[in-house]
Amino acid sequence: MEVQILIQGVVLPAALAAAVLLLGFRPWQRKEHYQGGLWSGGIALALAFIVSFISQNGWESLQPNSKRDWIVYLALALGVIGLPAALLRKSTWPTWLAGPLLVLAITLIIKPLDNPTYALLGLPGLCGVSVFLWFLLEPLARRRPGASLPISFLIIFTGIAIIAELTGGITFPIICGALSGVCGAAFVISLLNPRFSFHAGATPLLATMPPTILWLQGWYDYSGAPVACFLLPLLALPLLWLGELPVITRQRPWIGVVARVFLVTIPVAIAIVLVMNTQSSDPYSP
Amino acid sequence: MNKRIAAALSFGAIILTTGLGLTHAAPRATAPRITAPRITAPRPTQEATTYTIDPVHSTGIFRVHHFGAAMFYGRFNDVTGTITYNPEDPASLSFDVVIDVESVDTNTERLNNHLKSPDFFNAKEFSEMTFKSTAVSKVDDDTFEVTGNLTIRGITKTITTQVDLTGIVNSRRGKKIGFETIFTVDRSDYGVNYGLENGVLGREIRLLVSMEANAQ
Repeated sequence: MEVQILIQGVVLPAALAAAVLLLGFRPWQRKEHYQGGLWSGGIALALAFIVSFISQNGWESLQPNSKRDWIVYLALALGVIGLPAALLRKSTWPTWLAGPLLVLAITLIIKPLDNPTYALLGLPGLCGVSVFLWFLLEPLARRRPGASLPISFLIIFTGIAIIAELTGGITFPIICGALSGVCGAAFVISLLNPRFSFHAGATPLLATMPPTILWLQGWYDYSGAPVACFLLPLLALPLLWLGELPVITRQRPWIGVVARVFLVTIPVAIAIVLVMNTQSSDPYSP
Repeated sequence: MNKRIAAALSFGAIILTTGLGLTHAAPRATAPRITAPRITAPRPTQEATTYTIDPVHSTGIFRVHHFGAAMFYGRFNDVTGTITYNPEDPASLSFDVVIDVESVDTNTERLNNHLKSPDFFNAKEFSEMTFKSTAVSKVDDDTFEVTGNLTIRGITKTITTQVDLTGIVNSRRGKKIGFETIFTVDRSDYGVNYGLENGVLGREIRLLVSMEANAQ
């Protein structure tokens, strides 16, 4: 992959997003460990997503010509949908409001499906999985501020980027690379400000983008990769809850972070190995 | 003198009338109408032939500038459709060409998969690239200017291209005809935008389509 693509598609969007996160969580205000930046997580992730998408496909792609192109609007919606919860510090009603909007947005993406089975099973499945992951992630993010979630999502998005790159296409790998970069920046900020959290603002996008990207990547796939490799990374989020078992929470914080990283890495690594086993030895690199 | 002439004319008229009566079984009831001769274009003596494009001997080749360095070439292996043509009536020439996007071939499987992805041709959603001619004018004996609707990724634009008649033969395998055209399109017109912003790939795609077709 060329350096120019990585700079424009990954580094620049991640840097912009990191600036937003810095403004949100202000790690320089160390004494009180500022937590007023919950709004910034969703904005940062959506910004990175949109800038990365446009850097690859141009402004023209904002006029959708395929199901995939709608995803940029989904990212925008998911980036701002958590704002009321983040700003008002009450997450109940915006979450219930966001649920139907999420389903609507995903429907817009998948609307012109020509495969009835995929449409009938895939659409409710995708919506169901997204909402399920959301309701798993939000309380976890609220309960577990700090470095655990940023580094876990760094691994998840890196894994999805590798899977997407191996199964065809470059836009999703680059976008996931940018999202990984945002999570990496969030990880660094969380080390400086332990009250850093993804809850409220960022959870809609973090819960919805992995299944949506994997769903679309699986649908567009021509590599013959097994379906399992598009599902396994989604197991990472439920597995994160195992990190809340007393046997882990009783340990030192850094041990807990390592344990959660290990739990997340298992399904992601298996998925990558599965994809690699189906790939030809072509020298092509986008 | 005048009476003699009048008598001679009357006699001649009688002889003429009698003679006509001998040659025609039934005399016409009315006098024959004299009309001006019609001036019309010469009619072709044969109907236009419809040919079916032979995908085995037809090819679509595309060319794009890669990273501002080399010209990269790829091909579409599956070109189908019909051509209608009558050599005596150039205006009868018409094309209805379909290219199967999934037949894209670059000799590299992963690149083929990338080209089929939504980054480029989006074969899952738009499996065909089509061209339907709408107007044809003859440039010379073997060259035509063809206007038609080119559809890529579901977006239709009107283009005009010069098409060369490369051959028309009556072989043991039947009547065959060949055409070839080269034209350039701005891929962003068709929603193929990947790599435009970062200059990875050129904006223009040059397409060469060569078709051999068999008479139906």
